[in-house]
Amino acid sequence: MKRAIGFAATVALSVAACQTNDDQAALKSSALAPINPIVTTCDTTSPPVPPNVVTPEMANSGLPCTLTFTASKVDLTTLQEAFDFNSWLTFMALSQPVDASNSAADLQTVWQGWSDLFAVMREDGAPPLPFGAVQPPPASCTGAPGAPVMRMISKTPTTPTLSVSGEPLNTGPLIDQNGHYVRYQILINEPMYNYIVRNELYSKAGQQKFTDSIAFPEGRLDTLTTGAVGAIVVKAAWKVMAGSDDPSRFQTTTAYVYTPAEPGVPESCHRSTLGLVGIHIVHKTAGEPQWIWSTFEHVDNAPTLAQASNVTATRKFNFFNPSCSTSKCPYNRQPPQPWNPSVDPFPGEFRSQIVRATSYPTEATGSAALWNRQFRAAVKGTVWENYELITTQWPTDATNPTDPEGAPFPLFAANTTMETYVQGNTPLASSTCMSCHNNATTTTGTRSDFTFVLEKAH
Amino acid sequence: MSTVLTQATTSELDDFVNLSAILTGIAASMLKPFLDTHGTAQTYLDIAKQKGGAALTELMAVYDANRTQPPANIGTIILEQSGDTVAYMAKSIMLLWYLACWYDPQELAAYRADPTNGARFTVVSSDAYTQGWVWRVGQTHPMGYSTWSFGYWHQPPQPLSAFIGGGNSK
Repeated sequence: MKRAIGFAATVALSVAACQTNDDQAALKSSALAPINPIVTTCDTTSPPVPPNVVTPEMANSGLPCTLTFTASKVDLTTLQEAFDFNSWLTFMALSQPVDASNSAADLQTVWQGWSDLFAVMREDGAPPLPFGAVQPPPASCTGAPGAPVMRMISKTPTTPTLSVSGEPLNTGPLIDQNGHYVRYQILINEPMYNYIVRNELYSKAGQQKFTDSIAFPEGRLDTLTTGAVGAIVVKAAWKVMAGSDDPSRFQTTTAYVYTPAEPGVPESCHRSTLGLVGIHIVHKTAGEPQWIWSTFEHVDNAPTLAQASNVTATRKFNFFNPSCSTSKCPYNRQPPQPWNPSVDPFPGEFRSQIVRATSYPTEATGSAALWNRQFRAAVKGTVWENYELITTQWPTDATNPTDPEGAPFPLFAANTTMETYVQGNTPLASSTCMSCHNNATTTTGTRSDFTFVLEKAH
Repeated sequence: MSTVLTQATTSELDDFVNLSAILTGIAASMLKPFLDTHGTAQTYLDIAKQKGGAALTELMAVYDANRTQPPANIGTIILEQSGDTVAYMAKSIMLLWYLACWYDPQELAAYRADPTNGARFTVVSSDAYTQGWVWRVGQTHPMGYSTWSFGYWHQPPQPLSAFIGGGNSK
């Protein structure tokens, strides 16, 4: 995990698409392995004390198994800084190329090699594909096998075509300045995958048989750098590279952009190069049973609400047009119906006009600015200098018996590419990771340990 | 009125919180947690200073002069022996913590004199509404907002002491 990072605009994908006999054997083998194996490479790097700054070596020092906190003063400021530093270390560790020795040919990051939600929660309730295996593309897709399939256009992947009578989180698609729908992907790491497979939680039938409380494995540090990684979930938001987009500023991937058939929506599939515009990284650790919620965005996504009226007309954003008046392009407005991702680009003139509308306390804004400045400088010359931490939400009172949410801080957190229309600071109505995911259940209605992944079982 | 006091300090906010603990029966460490994510205590102190003015100053002076006494004695001195200005200011602070609403002390005095006139109040904020202690004393949560997990209703509630601190066990 201490390798240098290499980059390119396009990721070549090498994982075989079909489930073979070898794959079946691998799946059985994985059932015998420890769910949350011991590792000896936990990163325990502490935040540098001023005047020291984050160095490139520090930025790429590895994956923390849990939070390292060594400040002499304990308050919201120092803890937020520790969690945000931990978020950047985690982001960089997971963004290492899978094969650093052959970076020119394979620049898939660690997290891009994890198991996709649809390869685990399969439509027939069948056992998941082997860890990391890419699901076969639908028959309507053409081109080289092995590319991931991007089908989600909302937070409800089983209903990729949004409808006005949708579910509570069915808040609407995000349309970039080229008129293309943003696509989403959820991936889980191997300990989380192992836990689901071992307990047969990938199907409704398996979940009905499971009588224990759902408890995903925790990241922990035992001694020195020995510990266990624990469960990690990544949710990524991608935009199609088109128009005047500069792919060299993005982490990119080549994928099938697939829209399954729905009433009024024909099936469609096309192969595109997409750029990463947002990413959630959610890590369960022993000290944070409510998980640690880190969220990053591309720096060109959108201005803040305060900045929006003063942005120069030449400034290019992924989801904001500085030249469009607020009367013509009201902020954070959902696209007009119908929402049909098979009609892409979005018909007419509508393009999402997004501003960052969630306010954060000074402890969070100061900390994010501090580490964004230092980490982006430390990784200068790579695509990752074009990404910024929005915030890290963490439990301030993880074992409070009357608050299963653990008193999250900051109270609200939102990524403009994934919680676009629920930004803000209104209790219950506005996006807050832990409070929302505290309501997650399995298909049987039992708690699912802060992840909605299990409710996707068939 | 039994409660748990935090270590006495001379800070204005700590004094306000310790006094509030005596008035509400809720532990000071619960009113102002070590990692205070909502900042409710500071918000309420600011409101009390802005709205209460000289009445708050008088109340705090009474508290300061009697801070070494047992909490129940302090409560009696404030509510029964220090005059209406101090007593109604104290009641406004109690209602602030419990209901997340500001009731002007004069409104409370008028209401006492004529209960047919409902006392006017102002809800502090949507965030404060979720933090009203009336919900936790009732071992429940406000309508439309809960930090409990799905299915909590089929589990016995935690003891009252878990909600408000101190030695209350039911």
